[in-house]
Amino acid sequence: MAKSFGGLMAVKGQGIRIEKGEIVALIGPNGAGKTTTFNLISGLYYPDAGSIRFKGVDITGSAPHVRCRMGIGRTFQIIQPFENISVFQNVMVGSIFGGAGRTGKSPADVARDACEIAGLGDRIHCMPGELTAAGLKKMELARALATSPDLLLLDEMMEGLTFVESAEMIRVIKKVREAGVTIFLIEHVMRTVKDLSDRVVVMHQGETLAEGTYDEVVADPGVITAYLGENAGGDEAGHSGH
Amino acid sequence: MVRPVKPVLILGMLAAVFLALAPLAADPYLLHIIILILMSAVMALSWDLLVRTGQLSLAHAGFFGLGAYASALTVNLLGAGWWVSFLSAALVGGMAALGLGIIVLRLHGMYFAIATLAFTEVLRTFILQAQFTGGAVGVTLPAIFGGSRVAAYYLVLVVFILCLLVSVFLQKSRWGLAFQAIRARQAVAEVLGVNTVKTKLAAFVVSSIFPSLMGAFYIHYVTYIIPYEAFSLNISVSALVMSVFGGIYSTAGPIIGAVVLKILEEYLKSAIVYGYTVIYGLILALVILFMPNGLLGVMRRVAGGGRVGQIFRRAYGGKRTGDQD
Repeated sequence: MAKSFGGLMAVKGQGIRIEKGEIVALIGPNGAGKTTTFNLISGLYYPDAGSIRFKGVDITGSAPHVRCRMGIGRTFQIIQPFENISVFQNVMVGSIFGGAGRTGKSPADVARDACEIAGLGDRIHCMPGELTAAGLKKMELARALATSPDLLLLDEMMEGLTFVESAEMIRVIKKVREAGVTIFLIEHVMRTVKDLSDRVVVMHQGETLAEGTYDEVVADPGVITAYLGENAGGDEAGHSGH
Repeated sequence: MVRPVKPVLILGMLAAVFLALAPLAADPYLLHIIILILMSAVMALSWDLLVRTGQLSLAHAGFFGLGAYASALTVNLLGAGWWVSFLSAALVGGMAALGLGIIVLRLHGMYFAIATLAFTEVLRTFILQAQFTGGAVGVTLPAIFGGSRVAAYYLVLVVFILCLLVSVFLQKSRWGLAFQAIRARQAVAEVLGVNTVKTKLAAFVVSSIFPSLMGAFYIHYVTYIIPYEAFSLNISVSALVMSVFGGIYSTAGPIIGAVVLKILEEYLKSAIVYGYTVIYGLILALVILFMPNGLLGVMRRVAGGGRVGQIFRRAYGGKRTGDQD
């Protein structure tokens, strides 16, 4: 297990395990606890019970910045730019404080690489307020990439993007995975989930409802019930989750 | 294209020459006013250091009083010289900020402000009630440098320059970037690797050492202080007001605010003996209402480099691309 990597996460008694190099999608209805799960992994929330392990180390009580420097990067669903500094400086925050120390490169180089991978182009010298929705998503991704993550948590990166922009974002995410980054993503667009993920975890009411490949989970009757309501399942027993 | 740095440099050099030679030209009263202005500038600028992390403190009066008493008691009880008493003030102020910061820096917004206000009140009550502090009677010291106003002026000038250098360093270094990130979005800054607890604590300690030094200077300069004066809420509020008036989150803003407001205050004091504070307050209210970015904001707009974005773009040599949308 010297090089293997896994995060074991417990939410309401349920565990999620992610292996190195995977792209795992976390899906579920609104309020299922997907973003809460991300907040637990990135350290913004501390769990009431259970533990979180990363690369074999217990990080349950570690502060967010410590987890970041260990290699957990994340984006936020609602983009929260540092409006008071330029796009490039936004990304520099990630490379200076989060990642550059582990790469042996200068923070500016790490930030430039991150901007290039995310496809920010010549907009790096704009202020965040001058970016489009897609531009902000790219900046959000670049900030997370600048922390040189081994595990990248992506929270609804396709939200608000056009079809073309989504396709570009999917290409970028695949490129990031090819660079050796493990990816755990929350996504609502099922087509994206199908395109990207090796494995899908379905959450419902804070618990793991189903787990498997895309084709396996979409065929799961429990998943259909959770998404479409009990009547669509045609089976009153589907209600037993309560 | 005119580089934005030039006028600042010229102004800075003029100010440096003026400050270096001021004692030669100024009469004792004018020198006294300049000393008060420099003190105010240190108070305002050091207050701004913390607000750059998004924390609004009302503890400046607490540290001012603490520094005054720490230095006075170091002289009176231990028989130490003035510079030892200044070191003692800085040390006591810094340690108090460390202790207080660990407890209250988790709070935000008005909760933090109220906690720092409470700190000031607790200190004042303690000093008032304790025996060794002289209580409500206050403390007295012999005048520093045998009462030489010129020597006192150069001492406060040195502290001012120190504060200026610290402020510029904190803006240009990684600390400045961390401050701005924390101020904008603390949770995001944390997730991007910024140690927000350590950063804010460092800002608080540095920001508190300067009012402690100013307290030490004040008691040595005026030779007498009572708790009500040393811990007056006015001290915290005026540091805040001068910064906001001049323009917060900057080095120039608080200094400009201190210079303009102190001169205005002294002028009004002599022009309208009774009720000058009413006029002073009115001017403040109007300025803050109509100039939300302070005097510095207005000056930047007039100079054409108004938007922060343009300054960054110039500084980083990027092209202006925002026009296309």
